[in-house]
Amino acid sequence: MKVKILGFLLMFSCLAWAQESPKEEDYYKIVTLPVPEGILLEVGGITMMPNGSMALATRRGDIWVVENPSSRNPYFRKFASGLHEVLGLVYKDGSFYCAQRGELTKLTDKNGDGKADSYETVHAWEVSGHYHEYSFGPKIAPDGGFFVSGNVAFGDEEWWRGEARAKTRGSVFKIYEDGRYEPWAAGMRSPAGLGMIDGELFYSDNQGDWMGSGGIWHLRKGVFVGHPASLQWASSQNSPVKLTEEQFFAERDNRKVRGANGYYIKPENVVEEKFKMLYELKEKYPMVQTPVVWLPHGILGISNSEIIRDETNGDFGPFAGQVFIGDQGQSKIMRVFMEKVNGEFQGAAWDFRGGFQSGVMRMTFSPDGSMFVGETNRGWGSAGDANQGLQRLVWNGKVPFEMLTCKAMPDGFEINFTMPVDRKSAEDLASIAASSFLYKHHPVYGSPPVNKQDLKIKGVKLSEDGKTLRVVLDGLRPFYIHELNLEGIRSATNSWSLVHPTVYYTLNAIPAGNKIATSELKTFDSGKAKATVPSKATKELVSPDGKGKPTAATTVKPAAVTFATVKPLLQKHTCLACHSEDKKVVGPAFKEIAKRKYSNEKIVQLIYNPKPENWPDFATPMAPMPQVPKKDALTIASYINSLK
Amino acid sequence: MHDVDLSKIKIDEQGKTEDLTWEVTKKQNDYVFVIKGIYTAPVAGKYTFYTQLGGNSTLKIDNKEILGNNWTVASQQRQASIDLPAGEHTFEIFNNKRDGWIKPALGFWSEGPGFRSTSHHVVGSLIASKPSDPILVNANTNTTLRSFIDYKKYSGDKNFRIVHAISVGSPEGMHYTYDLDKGAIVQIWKGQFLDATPMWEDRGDGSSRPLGSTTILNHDLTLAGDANAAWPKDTSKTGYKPLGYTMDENDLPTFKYRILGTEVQDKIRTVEGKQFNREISLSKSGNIVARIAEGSKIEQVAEGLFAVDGKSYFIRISSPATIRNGNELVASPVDNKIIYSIIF
Repeated sequence: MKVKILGFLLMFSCLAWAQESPKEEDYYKIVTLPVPEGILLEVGGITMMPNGSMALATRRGDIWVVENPSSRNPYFRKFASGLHEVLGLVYKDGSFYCAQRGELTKLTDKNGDGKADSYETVHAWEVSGHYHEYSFGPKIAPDGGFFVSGNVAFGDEEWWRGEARAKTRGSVFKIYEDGRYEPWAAGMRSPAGLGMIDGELFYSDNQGDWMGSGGIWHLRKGVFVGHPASLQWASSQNSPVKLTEEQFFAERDNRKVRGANGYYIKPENVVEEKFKMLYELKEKYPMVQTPVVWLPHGILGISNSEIIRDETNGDFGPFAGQVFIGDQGQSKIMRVFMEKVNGEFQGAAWDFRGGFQSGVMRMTFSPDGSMFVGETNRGWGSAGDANQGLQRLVWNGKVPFEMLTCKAMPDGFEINFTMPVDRKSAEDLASIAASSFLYKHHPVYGSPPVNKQDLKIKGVKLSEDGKTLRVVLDGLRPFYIHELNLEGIRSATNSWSLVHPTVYYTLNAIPAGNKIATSELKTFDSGKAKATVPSKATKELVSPDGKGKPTAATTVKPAAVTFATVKPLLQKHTCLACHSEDKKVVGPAFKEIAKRKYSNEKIVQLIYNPKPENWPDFATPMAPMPQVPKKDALTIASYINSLK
Repeated sequence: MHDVDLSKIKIDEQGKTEDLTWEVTKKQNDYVFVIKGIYTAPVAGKYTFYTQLGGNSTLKIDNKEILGNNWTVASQQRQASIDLPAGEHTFEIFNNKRDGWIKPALGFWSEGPGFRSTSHHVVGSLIASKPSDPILVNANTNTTLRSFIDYKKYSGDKNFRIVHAISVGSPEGMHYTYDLDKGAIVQIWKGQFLDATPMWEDRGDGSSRPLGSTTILNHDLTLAGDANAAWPKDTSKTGYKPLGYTMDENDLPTFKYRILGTEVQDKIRTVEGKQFNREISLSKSGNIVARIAEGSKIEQVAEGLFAVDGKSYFIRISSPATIRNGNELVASPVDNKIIYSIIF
């Protein structure tokens, strides 16, 4: 009897809240695995074994085999130990392969006692011993070779400048079972995530010097992705990357300048300058590879990690075949749809699921269709404030209202939804906002978004079934990130808003083909600002008993800046990616900033030109944000100072 | 890392400081300071000095560098001991900090005969950095750990970072570090096993340190192809390739590598908590010769027993071994094996 009563109560509370559109946590649940006391995971590698066990590699140098990992009582068995900060793990033909800092190692249990007895060095590579010289991988190529990537070191005096002190640094290379080493691609800075998709290699990087923002790159043999450190080795090691340092620095200013005191000056962003972008280098040197998708820094992560494809055939939800990518700093997972235009990959990226307990470093799919997530923040700080974790992301079988795909069209984009959309909302141009922007290619840490342009929506066309929307735009720009915000779109039933209303499409090429005839377009524009709340009628529809109806608006004091009022601004300018009101995240809490007693004007200056040295307790420097309009920056500043 | 040529650096400011603090600089990062002062030892005896500085630092007492130029994060303490006569001594603290994410800090303590560790810095100088909780690796069972290992043959040498090192610890309290790039035992020690704080705290720098007083061997190749030529400095033209190691039923490794066309197995085991026995097996002998010890001086003290560096440690070998140049002990394989013991 008791159980029934509980069930009833639960239903009741659901109804009361139903007027709000469901959020990501209503579809994908995070389950924390029970881990025996005393095991520090700091996961660097995660893989499934053919028998359904999962295996983990940890920073402490252990390989754990986790038996029955989806059960209530997974069993942890130590398979190997003593390894050097492992950052990747695969299982192949009865052995594990993992990248330690300085070698690819094959671990085999030859006598069958459940423990590795053979620690075979497949290939050892040189490193200088700098802390930042991590090695990631491997991923297995179709020919059985192993892809591994190498982080750059930083300079001694120029501690901000990525350096390749050994030939593997800032590159992706391939190791064969017989120990052969083959350079593959160059120009990486911090290549923490590798992924194999249909036998093709992809990698992720994050913002830093020469990296305006994070993103996912497709790595064919011989490509160069943007950071010049590795080029010093390109000629000497018979690299397939045919780009020299001389050629690179003839096109780009390295800004290696000493000040009057004799020290090198750290390059900072120059707001008013004639800048260059990565794709412009590609126009001259075709081996330059621009990202498949940019993952705008601060919005879709700040330190991107593992890339995996959903091969669950629907067991993980409606996104079968799409790509998921983790993020350490923001402790979340993003979703990417890729398509090929003119033979090159490009695509769309969305937020997918946040709220993990620590930085998302590694993911793998379980045969049951759930995703195991291995976590660590290892000294960089993360939104999830634990230092490490092992969690499982499980789909509850309900379909979220999401953009399923977003494809480039000759005159705009075609968006496919997971469920039919409300025709009235979709055929109103006010429901969609569009803009495009890109990043600088320069030796400064990160880049503000530049050349931002609002795009006029000329018209839309919704398919008969209500699931496909053509959006026709003026002013598409190749290589630019096109941001479409579908805040006003509602689902046909329930009138939900999208779980993630914003898509970022990296338009490397505009496809050829027929443009849609103007006569077929709907061009009605209600002129209303983008609706942010569902219509009143909807509320009453889903909550007929009237419960939860907002009371009449009380009078609002005009001047008071509160978190609620400033939140849209903080979101728009990506402040919330790293800051919260009262909790240390990647950056200090706004309350802590308020304690510094800066004037509003000073805060605005610091938004434009941050001084990370003022916050020595924080690992990740803030990128300059000159793109924030002065008016918005002042509002944010007065909000921060209101917390004093 | 981060070594700086002080002769080329311009001095921004110099003067007297009332307080011992890093705040003699105006910057949070990108600074070099040298603080010189007088330390008065009340009585003669052994004094231990502790420093806590972010970035590269040294400590000199009476112009003798007792803490060499090493890089640490700001939460790490370093220490060194020295015998001092009573009276005034000079001290000199050098700090070069280039990593923006490391906190500025200056901590300086001493302890000596009859007094416990006493701080000499002002409180504010360390406020940002509590000393880290040490992450120690005990060898309660046979334990191996890969890490970078900082190596110096002699105290005045420049630090050399061994990047493919493995340390092997035993519950008997006898431990060693092996350089997988050279097939060489680089250091041996008794006591506790490793301090992995530098590797595992915060971002870490990938290195660990022996916990105990080490006996330093060397990190040159153990095997070479010519008994008469100067001992090779590196592995070039030797075809050296590390092959990893196998673990026996007691979790003890046997290292494997290829050199000069020969496959090598290198097995090092403790014997009764007293010595290491080493057995190097070759797949074929060729002209291979092993240099089983090297130092400033090697003397034969008994038949098959050699003292290295004034009895810093001993080598016992039953097959013939030859002292070369007074400071190298070489031996050729017998039945494709070289077997000897290291006693320390």
